[in-house]
Amino acid sequence: MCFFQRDKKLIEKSGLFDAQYYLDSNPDLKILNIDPLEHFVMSGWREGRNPSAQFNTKFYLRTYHESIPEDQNPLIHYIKKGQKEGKSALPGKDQPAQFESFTPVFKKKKLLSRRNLQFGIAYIQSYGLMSFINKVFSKLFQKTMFFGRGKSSPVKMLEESQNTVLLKATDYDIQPNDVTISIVIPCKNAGDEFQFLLKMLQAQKGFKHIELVIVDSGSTDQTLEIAHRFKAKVVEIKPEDFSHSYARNLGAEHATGDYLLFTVQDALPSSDTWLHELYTVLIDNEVAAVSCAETPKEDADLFYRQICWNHYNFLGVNNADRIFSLPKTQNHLTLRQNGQLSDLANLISRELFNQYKYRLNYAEDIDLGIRLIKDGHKLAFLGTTRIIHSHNRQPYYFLKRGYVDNQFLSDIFDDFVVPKLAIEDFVPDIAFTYSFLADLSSKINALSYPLKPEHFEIFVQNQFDDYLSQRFPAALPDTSHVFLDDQAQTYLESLITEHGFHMAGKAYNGTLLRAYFGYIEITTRYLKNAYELINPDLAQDILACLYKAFCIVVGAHLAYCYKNKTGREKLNMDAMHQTLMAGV
Amino acid sequence: MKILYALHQYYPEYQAGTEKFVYNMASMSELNANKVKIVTYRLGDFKHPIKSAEGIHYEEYFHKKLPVVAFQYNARPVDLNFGFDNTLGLAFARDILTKEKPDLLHIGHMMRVFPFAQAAIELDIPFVITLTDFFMICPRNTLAPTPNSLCNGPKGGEACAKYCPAFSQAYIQERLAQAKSILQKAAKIFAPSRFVAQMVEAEVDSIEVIVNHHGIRQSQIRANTRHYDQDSQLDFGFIGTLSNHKGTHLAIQAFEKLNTEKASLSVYGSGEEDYVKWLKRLAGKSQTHFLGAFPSEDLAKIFSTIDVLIVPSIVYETYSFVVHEALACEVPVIVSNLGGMVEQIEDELNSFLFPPGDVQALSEIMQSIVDNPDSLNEIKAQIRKTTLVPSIEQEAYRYGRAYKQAIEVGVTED
Repeated sequence: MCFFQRDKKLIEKSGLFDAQYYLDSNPDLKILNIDPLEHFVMSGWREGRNPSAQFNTKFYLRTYHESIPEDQNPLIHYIKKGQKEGKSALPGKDQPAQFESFTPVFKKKKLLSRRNLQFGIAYIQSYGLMSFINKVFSKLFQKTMFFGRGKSSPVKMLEESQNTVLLKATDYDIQPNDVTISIVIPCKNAGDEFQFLLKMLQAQKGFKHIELVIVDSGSTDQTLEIAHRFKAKVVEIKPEDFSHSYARNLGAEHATGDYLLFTVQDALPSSDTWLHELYTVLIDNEVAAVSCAETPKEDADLFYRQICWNHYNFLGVNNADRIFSLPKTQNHLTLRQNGQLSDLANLISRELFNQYKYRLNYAEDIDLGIRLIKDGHKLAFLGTTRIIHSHNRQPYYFLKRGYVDNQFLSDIFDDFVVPKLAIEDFVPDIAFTYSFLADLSSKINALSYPLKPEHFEIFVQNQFDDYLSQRFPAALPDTSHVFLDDQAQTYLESLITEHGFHMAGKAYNGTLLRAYFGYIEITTRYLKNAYELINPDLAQDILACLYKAFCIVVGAHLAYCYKNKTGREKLNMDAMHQTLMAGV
Repeated sequence: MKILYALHQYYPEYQAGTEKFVYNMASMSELNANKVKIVTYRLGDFKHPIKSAEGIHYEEYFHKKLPVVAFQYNARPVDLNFGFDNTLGLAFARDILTKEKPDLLHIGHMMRVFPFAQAAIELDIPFVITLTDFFMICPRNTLAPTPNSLCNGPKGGEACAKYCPAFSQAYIQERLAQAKSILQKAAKIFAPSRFVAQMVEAEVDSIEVIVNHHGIRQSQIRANTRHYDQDSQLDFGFIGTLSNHKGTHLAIQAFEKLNTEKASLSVYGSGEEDYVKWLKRLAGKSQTHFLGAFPSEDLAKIFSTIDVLIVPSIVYETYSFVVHEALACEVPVIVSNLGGMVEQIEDELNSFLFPPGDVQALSEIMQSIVDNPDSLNEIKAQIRKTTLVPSIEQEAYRYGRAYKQAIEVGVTED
């Protein structure tokens, strides 16, 4: 077991980590879609963030730094030794104030610069005073992020999770079960690989009968012909009637099987025992529904792979299977972690599904999962059985995706705090970060390769750090953004040109660059996990990835702006909303 | 997880089936967030800065984003292409494995990289072997004692003594013992076809060879949806190395016998100059076209023009990528009834079989198709309905699970 897993287990066991407290204190982490404990173990403690109200990271480090080994998480030190030795986890009345006589283990940054004050004001406006206090401390430790980070590991155990005991079917003889599985697939122009999908689904071992139910919303290619060839039950609906929930519910109504498997037209079972593995888990573990993670197609791009990797780290299923149930602490994060079902593969009994059905036109799978666990059901999510699926989408899609995801989060979860962000303040921030990206791209292209991912990470972090002292731009960057698709470039540059230069020449005080930096940390972590060297080809993939990340973060923040709209904006917020909500 | 792949030769110097398989698996492993590196032997000149170890030169480079280490003995061993042991190779393998620290070694072909398996055992690194041909039980690789004969395996060396007397009995016995020892220590052994698995299992006791068919890149596949009528013009195709053992001449000779003006033969690939000259002399008909090699990206385009693929090999094919690529493109094949390439073929249902080397039989099948082109519609429908060719994702998925199991269990102890 690596240090990362050990530390997580120790901290979990100690009860000294409060995920809700951690998120509330650090709202900048919300769009990262990461597990708070994982963040704390990986980097949060280095940034001076507190794991809970019961432990003050900075105080402990400051007070006991002589007895804490270099690069050890102070909370781990406290759990293993400090507690037994009677060391304090919180400052008492006789303890010095946090800003005084602090001899940092790491390089101390100058706090009271004009630039930082401006940034601080902007940050307080957006995220509130408590977050700002935490952020100030994180600055003290920022340099430590550049060095001495441990290896990342995707394996995690979450509160109230357990590993499933699975019969992993790979090379064993499968006895046919006397059940019928109805496979429901919403379709529209399913493409060249649809026939292969249907063939693979019909070839699944272990069932008396496989029924294919295709809900088609206006295909003009060979989708219907292929579906009929495989004797699928075809339900046709008008394109304008399509919604993710309606199409699937309609398919379920036409299904006759004992169990329903919901999947998608561009996925592919990983083997002919894939469905049996899901079914075995469903039956043997008495869960209400089973989903599985995806494994990428041969042409999956770096961005898609890293977001999947990060998401499965968040769920704790990168190398494990989990059973979800209702967590003790219920908030948008724990419910998403424990109510996870996926439309890529969702196996559920027809009887149970018909009691619930899908709702909404977005995130209908998670919504179903959360309703199930709230009613006391358990769900299984498999990371060691996977379905083949991935997309290569353009940056413009991710601009919308970031927007829609965050609209959804704030619509569905009452506890999801939308940062205070006004569009007139934010568009100059886009202009600033857009210029940064142009600058960063040029510099990445000029690097000498091959390069170690660790060195690349330091390079990128230094670029971010240096750029914070720049001023808001007065014009679009000269460099062409070759990794930005036309739609994204047109949308962003139009937005910037019309509303993004009124802060020109002023010192940067925005929040987007830091939020973007947080997102890019996922990329650098992924690179360290998956590569020993970056060569020029991979560098190009990274650049494409950086642009998609930029778009998703901008989209998320535009959603916050929309939520904060007052009606007095120069920008037509409703038009923006319609544009960014369309087609995801 | 870090996986080191080892094989006898690699891109860009060689581009045959094993190279394709290893590239496919290594690239998929990388897509699944594993660190990968490929170790291979360089037969020709180095193309990158040369490094040196004891008695060995080597170079490091990237091929299609994947890091490669290619080594070469300073003095080429006489048994380079059929032997197992090499002291210098073992020392180099130890150094590489110690430096790279892989969690697992996957050997795609044991020729020239056998010492890496030995070093992996020494260093307790689990290893997986894929038997991409018969090298482990046959120093000639192919179980073909002569260019026009085949044997049914060494039978403990008896067949070798009878059919390949150039190898001494003592050498064959020692070689088989070494092969057995390594195979029995492998964490997992795979083969791309039942045929290969059964041939090796028959020779080496106490091993289990798992069949994992090679996958194909779905992105390079497009269905050939042509519908035929009684008057349809047909194009027969041959794709591959133009060589005696691939039986290219058989395809041309069979085509020459056809009594029709409604068919052509397209020959794709390159080969040894003398053999190609002979082929061109054989090709009397103007409808035979030699079209050269093509990049893999053009595969779908080529299969959109071919109506029936001929694969007339006279050696055991362990799998045959091209047969399965044709089937995936819904192009019927006529194949020698030999080796691992026939396992997906149901004669006259989804394709055709003919006795290996039998020009007359091949020609008769071709003639019957030419006389009734519309019979291909039913054959293609059957392929569409029942013939499943796995994708490289599915092949890699199975290996990925095997890697995890192998790492959990560790190297088999003596």
